Amino acid sequence: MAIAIETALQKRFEDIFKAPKLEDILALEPPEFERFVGYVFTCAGYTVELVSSERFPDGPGVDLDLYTSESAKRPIARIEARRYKPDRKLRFSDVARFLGVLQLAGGIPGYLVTTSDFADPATIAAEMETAHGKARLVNGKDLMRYITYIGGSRAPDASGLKRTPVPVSPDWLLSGSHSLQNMERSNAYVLTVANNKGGVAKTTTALNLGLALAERGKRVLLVDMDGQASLTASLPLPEVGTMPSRTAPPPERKHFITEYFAGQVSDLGPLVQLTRFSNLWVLPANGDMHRMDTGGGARPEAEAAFVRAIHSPSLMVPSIAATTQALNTAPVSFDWIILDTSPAQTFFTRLALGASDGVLMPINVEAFVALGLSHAFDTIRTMQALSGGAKVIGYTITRWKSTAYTRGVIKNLQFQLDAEGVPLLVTAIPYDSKIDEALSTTMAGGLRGLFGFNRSAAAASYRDLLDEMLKKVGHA
Amino acid sequence: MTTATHPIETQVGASSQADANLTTTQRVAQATKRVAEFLHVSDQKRVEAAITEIMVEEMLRNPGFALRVKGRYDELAPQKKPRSAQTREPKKVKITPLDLTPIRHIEGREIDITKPIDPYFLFEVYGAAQLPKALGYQTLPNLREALEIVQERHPGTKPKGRLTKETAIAYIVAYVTGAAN
Repeated sequence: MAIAIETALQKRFEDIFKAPKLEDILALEPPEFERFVGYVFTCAGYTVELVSSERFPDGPGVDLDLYTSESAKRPIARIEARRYKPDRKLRFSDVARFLGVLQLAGGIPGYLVTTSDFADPATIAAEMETAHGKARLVNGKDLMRYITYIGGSRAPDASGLKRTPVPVSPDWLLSGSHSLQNMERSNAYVLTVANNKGGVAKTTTALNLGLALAERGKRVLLVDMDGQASLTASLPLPEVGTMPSRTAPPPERKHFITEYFAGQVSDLGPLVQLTRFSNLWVLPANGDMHRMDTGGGARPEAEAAFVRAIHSPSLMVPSIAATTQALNTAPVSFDWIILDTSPAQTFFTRLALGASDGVLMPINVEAFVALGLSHAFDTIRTMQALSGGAKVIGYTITRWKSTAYTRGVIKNLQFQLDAEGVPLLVTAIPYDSKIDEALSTTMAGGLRGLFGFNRSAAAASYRDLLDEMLKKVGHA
Repeated sequence: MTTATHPIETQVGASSQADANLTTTQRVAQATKRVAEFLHVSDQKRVEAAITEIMVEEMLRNPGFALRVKGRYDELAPQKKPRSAQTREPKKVKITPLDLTPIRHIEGREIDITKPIDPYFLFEVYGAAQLPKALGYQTLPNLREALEIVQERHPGTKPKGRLTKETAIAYIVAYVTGAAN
């Protein structure tokens, strides 16, 4: 039943998956485009049957049938694929005809997929009461998003074909309920600090940007999305009613973000906790995250839910939450939410990227720096397709030491990231022993963060980096 | 109107400009000496003990006096002399951005900074007009590696004259952009 595709054509399709461009899809012949759409849904975890020539041979009708598995008897959806140039929009009559065919073919819902777009009356036809839920319209833009999302969410199966582990319908991308542009959201700017290379100062950057914002009076929530929980460790709980002590162990945290992922709570709000710094709160992580990680495969339902949870207007400053409830006043949300990610491309990294308005990439100039960097960009593009967020603000050089080697390769790195379209943030964070000194102090419960070291070059640079970043994102 | 000054304040006043550079021990010695001279006595150790005991008695009955002593105590706090290193601004680093504008983005390419720079890649990203400037960022050894990439595609060709940055760039630009063909 599964669609058969010749090796040469499959290679062409895979090239499109690597860097999806509409012009490359338009270059396919119409029968090739039908097969390409079939290939996309196959990669999205479905079993696809090409039916245009046998069951619907007389022109526009149905090209492909979708099944949830090889053993499924009845298709769950039918697909009509139209490769049109962008200026040839599908009309009311196109959708009406498709709806008629669906009705004649057993009332199974379908996707009308095109490289162009739908005229307004066509959209209305698909939304009519009789058509509701039966015809979903996938225009060129949504098709590109679907290809990008599926392309970055699959792994090889037993046959060697890269597919998502479970069928992923395009409905997740079409619903828009988790689109950062359309959803009801708080005023917080959500920043993710990400790079799949370890030791590039992701946690240090997340922490110190958070502290720099907090010292300017911004309300900041730091979210630890890494099972190593380094960010959590650097922000121990305050000891209520006593001066911070360096000899007594800090009190232990009892709630972690894992409770949300395990489904014990549906909102993140109850898990937000105090730190010893003013204006700074934390959503702590623990080692359970390693065991809960499902890797880089698609889980659009959980991903979309996390986008909504992070941006929820109900995620607010805890102390103020109680006050506003008592006084019946408007809730006060965070100004900034900063997510720290793990080095690996985990499920949690996908979540963080999908939920972010902007992404900052710390990069350390050393020989292994670039290895796998392109995979990080793949994941960013994949999650951009889900939520429309994850705009790359830029990359910043961390732990900079000026040596003949670093000076030699820095331009090469700039060329390569220019090609990816990733902007440079000119403020570099120099290597500074005060960073470790400050971290060990705060981990032991002290209050002298990096900004307590007046002469620290890294502290001064993190303040500069924040200024530079604020200019780029335009969020105060 | 002038304010009357007690003679001992004029003579013993410890906050005079001249005392400003003295150590605490020197200030004690100087103040005791002045009191001894004022009282026309010579045993400075006894003077010091007498001053201290009278001070304690006076402080206990006169809060204003106690405040004056506290004020002077605060004034005598050691002033940290700024060393040159302490006034120095922390050394910040700014990476100079490339003075180039990419004409296209190439997504999905494997990034590796350890490989020699590929002039064909630079041509693709920055175009013919910006290629000489992009190559100008390279050192001569790097250009030599880039040159070998071009020579692989154009066997038997080489730069004109002695190999310098200029001749290497001219050769690479000519062959990569097709101007030499």
